[in-house]
Amino acid sequence: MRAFISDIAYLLRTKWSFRLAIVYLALLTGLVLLLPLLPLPFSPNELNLQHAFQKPFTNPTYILGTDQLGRDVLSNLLWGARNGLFIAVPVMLLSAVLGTAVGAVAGYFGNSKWKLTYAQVLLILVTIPIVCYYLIHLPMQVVLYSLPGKVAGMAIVAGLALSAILWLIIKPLLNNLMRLRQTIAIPVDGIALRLIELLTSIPRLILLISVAAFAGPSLWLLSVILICTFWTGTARLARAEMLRIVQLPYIEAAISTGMKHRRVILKEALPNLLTPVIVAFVFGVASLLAVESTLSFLGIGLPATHASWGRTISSIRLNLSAWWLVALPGGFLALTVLALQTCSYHLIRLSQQK
Amino acid sequence: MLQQPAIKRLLVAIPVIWFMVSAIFLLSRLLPGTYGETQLLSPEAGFYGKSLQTDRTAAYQQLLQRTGQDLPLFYISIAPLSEVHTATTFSYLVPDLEWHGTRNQYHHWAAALLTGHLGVSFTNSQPVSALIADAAGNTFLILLVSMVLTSVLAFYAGIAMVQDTGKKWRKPMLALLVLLDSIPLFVLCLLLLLLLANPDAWQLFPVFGLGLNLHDTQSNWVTQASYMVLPVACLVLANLPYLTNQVYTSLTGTLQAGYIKTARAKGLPHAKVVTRHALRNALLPVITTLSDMLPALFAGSVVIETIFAIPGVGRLLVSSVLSRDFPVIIGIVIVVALIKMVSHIVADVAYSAADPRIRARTA
Amino acid sequence: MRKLYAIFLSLLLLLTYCSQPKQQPGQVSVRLASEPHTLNPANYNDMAAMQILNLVFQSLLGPDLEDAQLKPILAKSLPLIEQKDSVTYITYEIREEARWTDGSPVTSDDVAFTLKVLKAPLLQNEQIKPQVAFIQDLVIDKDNNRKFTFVCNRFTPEMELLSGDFFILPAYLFDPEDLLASIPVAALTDSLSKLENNENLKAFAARFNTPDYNNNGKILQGSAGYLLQEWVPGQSIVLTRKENWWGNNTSASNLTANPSRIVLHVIPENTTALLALKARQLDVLSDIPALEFDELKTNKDFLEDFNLHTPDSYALVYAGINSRLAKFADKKTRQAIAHLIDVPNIIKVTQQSYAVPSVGIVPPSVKEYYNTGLKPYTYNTGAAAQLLQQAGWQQRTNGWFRTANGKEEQLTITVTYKAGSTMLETTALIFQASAAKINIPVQVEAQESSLFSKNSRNHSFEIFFRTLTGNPFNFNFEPILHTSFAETGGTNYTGFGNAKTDALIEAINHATDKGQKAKLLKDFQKVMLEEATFLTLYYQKERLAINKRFSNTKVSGLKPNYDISAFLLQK
Repeated sequence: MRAFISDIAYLLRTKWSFRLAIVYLALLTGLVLLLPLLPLPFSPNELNLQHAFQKPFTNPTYILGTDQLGRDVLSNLLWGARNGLFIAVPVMLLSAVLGTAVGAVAGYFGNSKWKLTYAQVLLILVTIPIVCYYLIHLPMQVVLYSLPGKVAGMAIVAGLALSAILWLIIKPLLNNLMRLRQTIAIPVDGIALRLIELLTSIPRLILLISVAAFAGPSLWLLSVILICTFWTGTARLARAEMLRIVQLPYIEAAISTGMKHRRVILKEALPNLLTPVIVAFVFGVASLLAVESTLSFLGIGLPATHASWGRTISSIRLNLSAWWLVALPGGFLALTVLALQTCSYHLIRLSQQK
Repeated sequence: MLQQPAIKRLLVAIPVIWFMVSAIFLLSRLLPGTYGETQLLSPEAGFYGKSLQTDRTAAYQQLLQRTGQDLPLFYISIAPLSEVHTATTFSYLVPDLEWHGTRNQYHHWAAALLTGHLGVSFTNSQPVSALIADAAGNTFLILLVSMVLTSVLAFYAGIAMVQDTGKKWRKPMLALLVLLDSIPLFVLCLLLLLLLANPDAWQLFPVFGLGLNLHDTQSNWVTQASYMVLPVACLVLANLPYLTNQVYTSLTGTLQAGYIKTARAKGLPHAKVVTRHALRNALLPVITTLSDMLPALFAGSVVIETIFAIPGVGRLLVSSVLSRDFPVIIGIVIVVALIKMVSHIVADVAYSAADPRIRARTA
Repeated sequence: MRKLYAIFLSLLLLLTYCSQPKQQPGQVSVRLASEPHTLNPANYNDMAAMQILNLVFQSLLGPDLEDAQLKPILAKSLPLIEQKDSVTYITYEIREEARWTDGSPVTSDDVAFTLKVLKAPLLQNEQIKPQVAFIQDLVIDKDNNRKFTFVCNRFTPEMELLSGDFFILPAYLFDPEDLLASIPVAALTDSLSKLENNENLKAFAARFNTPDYNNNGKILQGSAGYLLQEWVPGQSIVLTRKENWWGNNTSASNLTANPSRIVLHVIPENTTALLALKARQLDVLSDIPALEFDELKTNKDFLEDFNLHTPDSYALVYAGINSRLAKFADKKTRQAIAHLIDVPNIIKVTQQSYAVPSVGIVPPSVKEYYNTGLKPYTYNTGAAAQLLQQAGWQQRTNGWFRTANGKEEQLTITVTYKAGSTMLETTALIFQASAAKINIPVQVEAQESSLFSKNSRNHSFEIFFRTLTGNPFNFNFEPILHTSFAETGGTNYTGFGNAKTDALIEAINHATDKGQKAKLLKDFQKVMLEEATFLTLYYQKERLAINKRFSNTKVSGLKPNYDISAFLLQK
């Protein structure tokens, strides 16, 4: 981590484009965080029906113009940036962490290095249906039929108690049986790959439409689905890199000296993964910002009361000559992506030079 | 020697695919509503009643029966919780399972699938396989052409950028790609459409469809191709930045490696080092990206097919999701999943071909 | 490298040269916004299918778009209706010149066959079946094989319309083995379970439930002037005119088949359709977005070739308030909400003024029934606040409060609409902004269409905005406004009505005299306005463009807004 900070300091001193990008991103972050405190003349949802489709730079009240409902484009841009980044960054961060973890573990252990005893496998197989029934199915039924909350509570307690009994009492008993103490290799890589295939084979569109059918557009559900579908990209890249890294002589040496797997992964292999993960992260944030506007285009995005770049862009469909509704948010989007891109480019270059 | 792991992978893949399509079958039925429900149970009422609610409910029941949707979904089901269950006793803590035998939707569907039938569409009784075959031709043509074009351009640009002669192009090129990448696909489509197929601007290309010229039997590949230019261009432009960046980063990465430096020290010209040595290693991450691009391309085809009015799989999918035509939805997902699975296997085989160290492990 | 560019450029030029499809003079090209699911005349369920089927099949009666009157098509004249006790007899006679494609005459047996297909179990007929459920039997005249009588249950005013509304199918083509001949029409009315094991019916179902009866032009042939020549899925549907069609020899002006060829292109995206129109690849385009329509009006080049039309439609946009909820139970609260809907601005923003505000459910374009003595609610926050106070709400700094049953509640509103409609979304947002002016928090929620209709059916909504399509010939408001349809699952979503309004609706239905009907309808508009449960915002105007090559286009407010079969080439 310390090396990373000194890298950044070095880049700041030597590369002007990196400095520019960092300054822009810092300004944007500050702006986005402090936005509720700023004295903007209009809120993003304030309508002014007398001044719809005002061109930018002609009206001093609406510097950047208005859309079809007379909403101020400037405040929509800023709030759109806030809402967009508040979704994209946490979602991509979680996806990247999840993806790197799965990819690194899968790539490192392959199909033969991770071993469990028969007893552990048996217990895992029993625990899964218990968790599904008591911790997922029952609470969902309670929400669905609006039953008293204590039912859900009881179910969760029962589920946890059953799992505890299994792992704390039954497991030691099982370990006494000779046959169950034999170990079996878990094909981590295979499982991870199948899981990725399963997730990527369902088009995201179907998932989104079905969720919209359940609960209407909502920020939380949208984020969950995006995380669930975005981590696979990072995972595949991380796995591919890990497959290469594990073959490197110094990792092989580390393993042969008896270093623990966990240590090898965290200390030796992960720093090498940084480059592809950063590239994936940067492109992920950028594509998330674009995905959000595409969803608005198809009518299944964020709720209509949420300011977003996508919402502003999609109003072009009502008036093809209102160029500023595409150009301004589009330009803002491009600029943000460009800054992110520049940062990652320099970081990649630096890590490659070492 | 390479074929053996591929066959093994295929054998492993079959149960996985089966599990996957079963999961999709069961999950898709979680979509509320079914075909005909909206029209039959809550029609847009007008200034007179076209029919009585009881008659409509009866017709809906007939529809469910005719299409086999009145049966239970799976072999077993868990009875839903009710107030009675939960008011006083704790009986809900024991799952209330019910066995339905083979008279269930999953069994019928799976049995038909094993004999190669994907079922018939609820809306027009057409076999799903025929519907998909009709639509798939157009989609795959566009996807294939754009994927090949994207890869060729990406490698061309990537190589040009790492070579000494291309240095001055590098920065503007990267900036241009980033700019391109930040434009959402639908905006790109609309922009190209408004610029290049608009009588008010330049009308270079036809606006919509795939140009099966009905009144003109002389339709040849040239007229066909002119309809493809805009959609393909959109897909290429949309996917080019990501792939080029992948090629570029992995090329620069490998160029730093020791053996490349040796090759250069031997006095090989830079261009040759790139094409002979670095490219082969740089292929690895790119292969992953390519096989991963398929769903992105597919999602892109949904947008493109809607805007350019191309009858393809993407549009078929959207319209069947909207009308809840389950057999078609599941049919499409199965086909897409199968293609993805095969492309993953091909990617893995290509991987081991490109990096001999991995070959030893997967064999 | 240079060579590559040269090849690329020449290829581009070549493509450009070949790319412009040319229009043929006798052909009409029309846009379909969505492809029909099926063209089965017994099971179609969308506007697109109805428009196409009207060119291939004929019903007994149908509206003439020229003057929006119900006119006989296959029937010789309007039917004779007799009421005896609780049974209604409707007698028709088919035109003697009416012929199927093979030249054989259309007879009562074909009508009987059609009824059997529509009413039988096991067949793909669920969409149309409920519409003919009221017809119990068909009695064929012994002396005249073109004359027959429908025996119907009870009486409703729309029976005339409905009894002539379904497409008559050719028995010789649909059932060449006469499988259904042995089943009487009356047997299909009551318990159907017995028939489910009928071997003949099963054999017919096996034939009828196939794709051929959904899309094959060889089977789908009716008595109208066009044949379904080709259906390229997802792309286009082509119809060609029959040689020597019987309708050409009649004097009826609503039986036409003028263009020799009709091509319907499936173009889902509006922008694309508009560009295709400008490129002269389409001859007709309806549902043009309001802003674009304004732009077309000033486009000289475009106006050289196209006429623009804005007929008054019968589609209205309304706000439904769920009067079953305690907070909206008081009439005054609902009236206050009505004062918060800024209709003129909503029309200006969503329809660019292509709409007419209306006091109630009767379209202003139907002058004899529209109550001009009433004034619609005006946007007035002061009046709204006053009404709320009268209804027992107290204004505080953070909103409106009321104590009911010992519990304090705040006045909050959730507005729902069908997801994907920009027009309704904008309407909801404008309402939200207006309500915010007097501190009423409004939550706007788009709901996916099946969820939205389910919630409407179960009455779990507060206020919704939706559209409704009426017509100029029938004003039976029973299904949407009578209390007998107000139970859960019924189509009276808002819970409108009491004994007085129910009686008024029934009186309107039974009024035979036009003057009396007008008086009752005007009274009803007054009551509806006062109740403020079902708030009509406006009636839309259609916006369409038609190529100047054609005359006799029969532009109308009724869907599909023009009659392609009537289009005549101008010399």
